[in-house]
Amino acid sequence: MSRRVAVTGLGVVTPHGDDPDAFFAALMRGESAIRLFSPEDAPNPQAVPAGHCAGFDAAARLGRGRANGMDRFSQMATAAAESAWRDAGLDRDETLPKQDVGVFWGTGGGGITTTERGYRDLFLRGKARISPVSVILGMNNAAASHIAIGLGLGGANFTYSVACASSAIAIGEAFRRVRSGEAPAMLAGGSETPLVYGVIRAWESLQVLALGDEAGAPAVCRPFDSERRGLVLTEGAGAIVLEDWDRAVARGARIHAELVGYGSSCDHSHLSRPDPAGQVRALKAALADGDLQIGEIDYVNAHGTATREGDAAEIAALKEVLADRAGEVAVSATKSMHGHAMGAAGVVEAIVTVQALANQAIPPTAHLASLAPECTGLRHITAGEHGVEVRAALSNSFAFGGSNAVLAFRRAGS
Amino acid sequence: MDVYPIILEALHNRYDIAVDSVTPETTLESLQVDSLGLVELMFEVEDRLGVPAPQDFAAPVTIADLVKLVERMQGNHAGQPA
Repeated sequence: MSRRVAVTGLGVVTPHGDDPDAFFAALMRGESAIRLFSPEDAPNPQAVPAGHCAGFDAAARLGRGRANGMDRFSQMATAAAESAWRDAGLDRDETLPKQDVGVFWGTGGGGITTTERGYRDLFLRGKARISPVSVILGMNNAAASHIAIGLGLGGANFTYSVACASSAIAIGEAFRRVRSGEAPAMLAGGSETPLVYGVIRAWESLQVLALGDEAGAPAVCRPFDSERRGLVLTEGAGAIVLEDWDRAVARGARIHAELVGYGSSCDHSHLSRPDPAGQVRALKAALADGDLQIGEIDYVNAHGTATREGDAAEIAALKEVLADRAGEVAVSATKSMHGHAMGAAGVVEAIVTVQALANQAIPPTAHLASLAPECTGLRHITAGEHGVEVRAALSNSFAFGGSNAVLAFRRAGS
Repeated sequence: MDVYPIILEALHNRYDIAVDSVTPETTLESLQVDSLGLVELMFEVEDRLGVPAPQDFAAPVTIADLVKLVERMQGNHAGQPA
């Protein structure tokens, strides 16, 4: 039995704040939340442009006792998930069989803050013992488990660790559970907290970070621009509630959008160099899965990390798939404003895509001043467009390891 | 160093427990401090006092039991050769 799948709840923790509407409004205005950031307790001075959730107060959101029992990636996960749950109105729905509702979560690094703290104590401070809860705070599936405990969700509880496609894949797999009728609803998303010294140093060494000073930090991430210099690390979380369409309608829920398709593939060619052929397969799989025609797609939220090779590969893939409509379909990379949330990027950008459908508005690629020759041929949005028709939209997530995931949404009224 | 206030502070910091309601007779169970919670608490106290907790100890039932356990740790540590 194939069911339609409604998106009924949204929750975020981002450098722009934790209100999905205010977040989208900031993106529409082209506002960047990227600032120069220095990690705490760095053994050597370090300052990089980054998306830091400076306003996130875990103790205020979760209570100090609860927050102390979690790594930062679980704190953000729980906050985003509980926001999405409330947004869906499921906190007031006593008919939902919560034992059948699962949590599918995505993260690349998991509890890396706890891991780094442990290493500091052991290797830098010479301690013989580290926190007795290091294991359970640091494990990658801690966030999903905390969400299930907090909301009382007894269905399947899985964590997907697929680098930058982690949470897109978590959403896609959760979508299948609802569509098949296996679950009446699922909570899906992801969280990532890469702003710790060792992780920043590792990305710096890979030479893919856009570096800059305080004045230049907000505009340093420039997807598709001829002067693009790389990505910006961001911490954050996002969660969406996926629900059986008929159930959502019957209870009078607000439906933000419909999730109709999910495609995944592997480049099977290189760990870090993306291959347009693999991305094309994921894009076509999502369209076929959603029974969508190219003519219905009005917007693509690109993976668009602002790396040299990544942007060029994605543009090539989109041009091949969109074919003679490539010049008409709006494309933007909102990482230019919120940075790259790694394992949480998929859900954060899926939420932006859902908001584009719900608001009939398209956010821009900020700071795109000089379109790179290898990125031409698409309708790049450089200023937010309000009052446009957005019938269906895609959200791309392409990961190191060659794993690709594409989510396809339709506006709720279709 | 007086152990009791340090334990109260650790309970407050880690579990957000209102220490005004805690007495020496209060049980750890009533504060919802389970076996893992006790290990965490001991780790924090160990960190604050700079004395090593034993790897194996009989679980205290009340706050007064916990104070005695930490005082024994201090005593044992004080008796160690420098």
